[in-house]
Amino acid sequence: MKEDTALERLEAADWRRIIHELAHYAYRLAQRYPWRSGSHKILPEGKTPEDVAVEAIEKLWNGERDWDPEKYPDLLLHLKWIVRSDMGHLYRSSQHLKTRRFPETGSGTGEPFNPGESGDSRMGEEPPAGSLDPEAELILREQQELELRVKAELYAAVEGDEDLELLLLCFEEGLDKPEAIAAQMGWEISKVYNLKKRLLRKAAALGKTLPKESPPIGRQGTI
Amino acid sequence: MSPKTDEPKKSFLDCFTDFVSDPAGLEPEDIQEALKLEGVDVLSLENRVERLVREESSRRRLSWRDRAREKREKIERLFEPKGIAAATAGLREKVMGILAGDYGPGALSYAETYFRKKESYSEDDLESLIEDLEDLQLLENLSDQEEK
Repeated sequence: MKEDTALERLEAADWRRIIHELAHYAYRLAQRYPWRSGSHKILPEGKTPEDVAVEAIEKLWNGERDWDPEKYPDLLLHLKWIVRSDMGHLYRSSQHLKTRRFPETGSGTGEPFNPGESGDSRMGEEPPAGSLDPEAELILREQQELELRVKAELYAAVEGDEDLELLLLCFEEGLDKPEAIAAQMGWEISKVYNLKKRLLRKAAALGKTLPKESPPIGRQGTI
Repeated sequence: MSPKTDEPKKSFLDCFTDFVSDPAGLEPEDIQEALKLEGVDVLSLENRVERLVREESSRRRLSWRDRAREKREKIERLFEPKGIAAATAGLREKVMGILAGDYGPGALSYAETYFRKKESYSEDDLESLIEDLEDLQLLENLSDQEEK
């Protein structure tokens, strides 16, 4: 019964919309990783973020990744979780592990994670002070340097656009939900959406200055 | 400015990535445009997924039909050695219909147990089996409703 329901839901899904949004998510997610290629468009094994997105759909269809529509009714969200998990695995693939050992975590093992949910306790977690070994400290320092560099790139990209600069300040304060940003800034929600479109156009140009051989931005060890 | 929740503060890049990857407020054209800026051939991507879905759907449907056929053959084998009378053919079809339908995985095993106990069957036996199966389905439905 469950399988029949899943199949019916899969067949009824709007795959055109899903692949657009999933590929979009995959490209944005890929920008968080300092790939050895130096570009978020060229991933290990010669893959692109869109390949990761299509493979996630394929895995859902062929059963390599299970889907219980009753437990996870949002198909796109579930696919995003697969993309996130697969990209994390890809990042930790052999060519990266040759040069760096990452701390073991409980992530990347298929445990449920809902991308887009701000309440994920693993987000932005940092170990208590004094608990890091020298290698982890180095990784953390590189991570912070990387974040500063990407920030600088973003601010440079929006320079002169006061609204976009204010939007970046909202990110500094941990705000990322359009409703919260609108309320905080006293903007109409439509303005926030327009700013998103403008920022999106700038986002495609990012990543060119990301350093190689560094840990994932902001969530090292939690992907 | 500060978030109005008790959640841990998200990093700048978490916020940036989550904000721009969330399709809320974006038209489909905006997302397609963003993909094009990344160098994606959107039409080719759509075709790739459409082909994948078509092929996988066919494969899963075939697989489902194969399983249904196997189930029917298994049910048929239940009746073969028992020499069911021609007069009970209608009831036999009804039992097969029930077992092949949505009466849950327990129905077939119940019928197997039921047949194992008997050497031959009368019309009354098959009617009794149907009643049992319908009772079982009722119980399963009630159980499902309670779980929900």
